[in-house]
Amino acid sequence: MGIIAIMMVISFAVAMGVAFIIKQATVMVERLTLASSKPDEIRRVKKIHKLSKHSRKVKGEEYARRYGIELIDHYYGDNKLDSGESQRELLNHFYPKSR
Amino acid sequence: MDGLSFSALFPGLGTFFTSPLVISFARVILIALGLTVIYLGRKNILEPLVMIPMGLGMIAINTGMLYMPDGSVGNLFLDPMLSDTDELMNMMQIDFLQPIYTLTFSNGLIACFIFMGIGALLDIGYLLQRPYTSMFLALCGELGTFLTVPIAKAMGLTLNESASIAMVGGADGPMVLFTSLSLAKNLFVPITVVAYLYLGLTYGGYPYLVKLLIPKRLRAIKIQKEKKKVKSYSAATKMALAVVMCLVLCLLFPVAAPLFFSLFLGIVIRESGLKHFHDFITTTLLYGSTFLLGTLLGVLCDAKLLTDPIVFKLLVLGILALLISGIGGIIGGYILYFVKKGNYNPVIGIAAVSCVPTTAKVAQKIVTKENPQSVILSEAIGANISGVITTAIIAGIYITLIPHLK
Repeated sequence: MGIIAIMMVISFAVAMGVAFIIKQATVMVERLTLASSKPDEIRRVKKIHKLSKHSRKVKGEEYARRYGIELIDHYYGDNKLDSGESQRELLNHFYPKSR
Repeated sequence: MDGLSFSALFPGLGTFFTSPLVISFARVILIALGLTVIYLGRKNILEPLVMIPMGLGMIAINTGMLYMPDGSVGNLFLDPMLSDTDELMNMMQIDFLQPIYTLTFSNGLIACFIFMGIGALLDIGYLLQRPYTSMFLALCGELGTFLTVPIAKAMGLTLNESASIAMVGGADGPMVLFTSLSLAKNLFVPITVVAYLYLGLTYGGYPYLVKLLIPKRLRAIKIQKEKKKVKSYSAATKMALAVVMCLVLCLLFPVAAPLFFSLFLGIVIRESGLKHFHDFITTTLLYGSTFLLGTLLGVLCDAKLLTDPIVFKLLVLGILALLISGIGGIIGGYILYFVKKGNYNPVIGIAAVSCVPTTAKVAQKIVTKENPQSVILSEAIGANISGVITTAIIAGIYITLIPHLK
């Protein structure tokens, strides 16, 4: 029974160690993924800036027609002043990150 | 026509009358068991993928007996007891399943192929979302794997044999096969047969255990969403994690490295987007291996197996191991229920017994019956996947330490 108790303790320690490694490694890999995906974000921003005024207007109207609310009101809401965040939200809407 | 008797003309029937009564009786029982297993497999009460070929194998091996040139009673399927190389080479040219048995079953290759298939079906994202909770539950679901060892020892088995039969508590067929091959080669055939027979029962048996130990009020609990949003992880993250886990576990337990490698290879293939490999592993390889495993398990069930007195002990210990593990998982579920102040469904505990994905499906089915609004599948699958990993860890610990404890 003593041997089994020791093996239970070892198993518990190893399993929890594996859980700790999973947690830490996930955080690390997520950070690395975020860092390496930055150029992609920049590319997407550049792409939207290339859009003509006309096509932006068409997209805006299409959104309003479909959802019954202006895109700018929907996304900006009370935070209209927070232009940086709003811009990001709009970009994410029209150009969702590919997985 | 001299010497041509009924027995010589119809040896399948004749051997029933010329063999010892115990053997003939055991053959009849095994034929009946084969028929029952096919019926229960067809009705989905037992796992049909393994049980249908296994049942037919049982029937064929116990009816297809004949007199060998040396006068003994044998068959033309396979001989699991051969170890001499020359004899083995000769038999491979006579017994049609001998090559498959020798080259895939008795070296654990088939277990590794099935593990690759399981890996390719697993989404480790559920484990990454809650690694500590899932691992804790999975450890509780291994209670039978630990407690059966002293019980088996008290029943007269050696430590190696006790550890091998106790692995049934991990509810992971390939792992039982692998552990018994490493620790108790003399018993690996009956232990594996017992393990697969019982694993087929989890689908039908565990719901009764859950209903017995968890009241209806708790079975119907709907887990309220956590304040912190549950993250979903990209394929790249999951793949990187699988690589890290494979590295760490192979480093810690080299004896179980083939199993870890197979499991994580499946996960890596799934997450790498290699569609053709993924399709091959999850269809041809997994189903092909499962079919051959079921067939081989069936033809290994000859009458000599049932008449060995140790088989009765293995039957008792196998069911005990699974029962204790199920209770352990439910205790884990209760602990988390109290730790999370009631915002946890203790039924999830049963999914910690790593019979992937059967026990997770069982848990969701029970909960849905009580409360259709309650969805616990993601938590259950997290515990289920952790169960595979903890079973592999325990197998690694047993295979590494037990040979040094004699």
